Amino acid sequence: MKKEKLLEVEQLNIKFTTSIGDVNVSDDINFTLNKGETFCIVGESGCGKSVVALSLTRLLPENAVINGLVKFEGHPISGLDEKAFAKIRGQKIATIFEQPMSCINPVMRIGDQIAETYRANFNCSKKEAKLQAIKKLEEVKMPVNRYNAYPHELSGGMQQRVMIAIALACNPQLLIADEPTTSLDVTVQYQILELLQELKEKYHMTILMITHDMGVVHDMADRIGVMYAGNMMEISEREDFFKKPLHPYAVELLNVVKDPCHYTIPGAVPNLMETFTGCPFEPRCNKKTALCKTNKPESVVMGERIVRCLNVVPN
Amino acid sequence: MDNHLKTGLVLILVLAAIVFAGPLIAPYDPFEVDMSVRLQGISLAHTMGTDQLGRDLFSRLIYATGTSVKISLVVVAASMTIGFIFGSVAAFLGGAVDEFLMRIIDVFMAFPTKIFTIAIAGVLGASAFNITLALIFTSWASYARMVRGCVLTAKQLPFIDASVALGANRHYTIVKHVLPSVFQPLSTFAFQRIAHTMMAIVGLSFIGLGVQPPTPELGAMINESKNFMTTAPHLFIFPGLLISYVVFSFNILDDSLRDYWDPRIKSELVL
Amino acid sequence: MSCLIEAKHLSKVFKDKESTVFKRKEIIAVDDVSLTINRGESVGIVGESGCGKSMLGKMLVGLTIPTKGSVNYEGREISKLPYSEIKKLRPRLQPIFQDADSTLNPKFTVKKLLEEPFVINDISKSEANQRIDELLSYVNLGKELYGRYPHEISGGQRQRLGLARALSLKPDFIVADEPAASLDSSVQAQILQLLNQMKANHGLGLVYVSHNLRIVSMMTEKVNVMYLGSFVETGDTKDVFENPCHPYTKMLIGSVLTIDGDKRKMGKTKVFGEPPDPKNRATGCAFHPRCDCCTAICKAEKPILKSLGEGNRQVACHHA
Repeated sequence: MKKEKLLEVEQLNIKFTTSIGDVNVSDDINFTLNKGETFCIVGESGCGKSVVALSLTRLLPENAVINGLVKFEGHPISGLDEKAFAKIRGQKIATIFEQPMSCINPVMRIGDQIAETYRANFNCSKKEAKLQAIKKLEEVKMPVNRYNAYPHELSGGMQQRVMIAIALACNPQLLIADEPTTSLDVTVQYQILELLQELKEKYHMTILMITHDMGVVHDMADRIGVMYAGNMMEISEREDFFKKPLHPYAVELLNVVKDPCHYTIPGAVPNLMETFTGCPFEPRCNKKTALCKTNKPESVVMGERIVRCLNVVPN
Repeated sequence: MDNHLKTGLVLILVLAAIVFAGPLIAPYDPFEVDMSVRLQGISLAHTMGTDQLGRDLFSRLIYATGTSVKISLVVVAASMTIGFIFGSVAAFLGGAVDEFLMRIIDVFMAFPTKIFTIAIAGVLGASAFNITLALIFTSWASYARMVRGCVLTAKQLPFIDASVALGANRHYTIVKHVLPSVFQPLSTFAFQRIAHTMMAIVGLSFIGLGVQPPTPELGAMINESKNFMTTAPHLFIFPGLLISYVVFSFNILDDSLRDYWDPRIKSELVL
Repeated sequence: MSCLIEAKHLSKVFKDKESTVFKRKEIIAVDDVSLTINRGESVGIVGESGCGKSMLGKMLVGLTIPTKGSVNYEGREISKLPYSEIKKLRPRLQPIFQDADSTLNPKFTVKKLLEEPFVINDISKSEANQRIDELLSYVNLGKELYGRYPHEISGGQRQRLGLARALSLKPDFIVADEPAASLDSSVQAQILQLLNQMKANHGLGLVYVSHNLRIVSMMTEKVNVMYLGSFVETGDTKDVFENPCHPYTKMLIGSVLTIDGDKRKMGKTKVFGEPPDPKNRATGCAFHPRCDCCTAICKAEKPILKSLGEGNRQVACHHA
């Protein structure tokens, strides 16, 4: 069965211009999202994973320079003007963040906020919107009697649920989840992830999940993209990835997560202000060769997988 | 050091020169009356013209700025000291002492400052000394409240705990951690208040409750000039400009110092 | 094995902000907790946020005075010692904080921060410098950082700086409160290995406070599971993780997502409810509103820690 593509990202380059120089946070990134799958982008902090996700909905600050082609359902959306794009952002692509309070209005009752989002996108009566909002609250397993609560009266997990309800108010096809459970307790994280999984199946949604937690990736992902210093190092299916990661960085990352008391990756993530002549992971890599310092690896397609490393050769 | 701070420092240095080296630069005695040259415009002999009594305006302005700035510095320094003592005692001792001191401060804060100052100056009689007293009396409470707030916040900072865990005693944490974190907001606040106090002094002198003629003072000079507004506009334009200059330079300095002292603001945000 | 720290019936009660003169409201952060830590042993304390585990950690190093109960260091009760003794004792008991950033004075440079422990304890400059050199190589920090401020170095470096400060006075006992929670996995691994190395080299006692059960299971020998201020299950880490007895422990362990094994874990354990609010404590067993084997006795009576089987396993549950 050929998988239907929902989102295609080609040659995505993002840099921030600052007074002390340019910061390259995304370097020729390519990936596609198939309909109905969960794609996880995983990487250490500062690797640019959130920036890539935010760029898809144009939520980046003004000093970001974005180049590349983004196609949604086969139509390029990277060239659309703001007005046309706002429609897609509202109705087709929704985003949830790590800090729910950053996108919930603190002085508005949560039910009204969900209803408002619904009204803004579907132009219906107030009564209808309220009914829809109640339905959404039930869907995210919030007690309906919290309709009139203010955000600060809710716990972190509940706030996260409200944000999901707002994001789902107009049945988006793509949900971008930027570290949705990072600041939550394990028990709450588990419940939120379960909820996302359930909603995904119910609405045939596609989820693009940004996280640094391998445990979350292991449970949620269908396919995985590993980012390092603005580069997409490897894209693999879940089973392949956890059975046999290809890129040396992915290998080491999994080792560290499996046994943090005995493995470590020496060194630190590079400063994104430098330009790399070779592979950005070269200084920390234990499989490096002389070529790695001078030649920048290109993405190599190996069946279903894509790897960006000079030493991984398709057999 | 950024340009903002440099500008502020240059402006303040010029002002300091006017205030403290003024008598050396001033070409004439500011009290010397010469009716033959009264109400003259700008000329070579009198750079900024003369007033209704023929006194050299330039020399008078130099002395006048000195008077206003010195009074405001004294007021701010004195209220800051009193406020600092009150505020830190309240915050460090806490409990009933804190409660008691804060209620006193509340009483002082409840007075309408301007009216109260006018009343004191009116009762004690208008003079430079009385107006200084009146201003200190009405302004120390806001310093005290500010210091108390800062100390209470600083006391709870996690790095205080960390240094206690390393064996630091109360004295050490107060001197090394709490007071430095109070010092910075306090001095920023004080710089702000200099400009503010300056305006109060000028205003009070303008309505005749502050520094008395013939002592040169910016507000008093504008007051004297009001009868000659149409015939000799330089008499109020120059003092007016000077007031703006002083207030402006203190505000610039206050703003840039705040940025300079906080190492976190200094470093550039990349993303 | 000698007993290093012994905590007996520790409780910490706060006055609620909402309490008035007429009606005193209290928040019980820690409720009658006892534990011992031996030299060279690492003990984990796990629980959800707000369960009082950080407060317990602070009481163990003497940073917070318990409302009831006592902490004994080598047989001496800390809160009863005269100040001069406490000052001598302080360096022996060190906390490592979760948020290294806020425990470093932002106006101090790295050099000043490293020197602070020696300045506080009147240690001569030459000795201090020598010790700092050792520490820097130990935690793998370079001298080029000396002139920088805490916000100018990376999160991992800050955490290592915090470690270096805690280690500078050669402590016997360390309470590490989520020392690696906000760090990337590779940096986290560096910190954990440092802690293990410290424990192995100096034979110090380590209390590891965390909500990350996976790391606790790897780092510690004994573990205490905490719920709303009390221990609900204690025992050897291996036993507890292999065979959890308390329903809460089961839930906690079940909700940890790991990358071991091929299968997804989601949907296998029943996890529900929110971390409890100490202000609205349930009657009887505090966990009963979230427990799926709750019966009448759970709602009425608070279970106490009871020994279970052999060894040092203890569980506070009516149905264990």
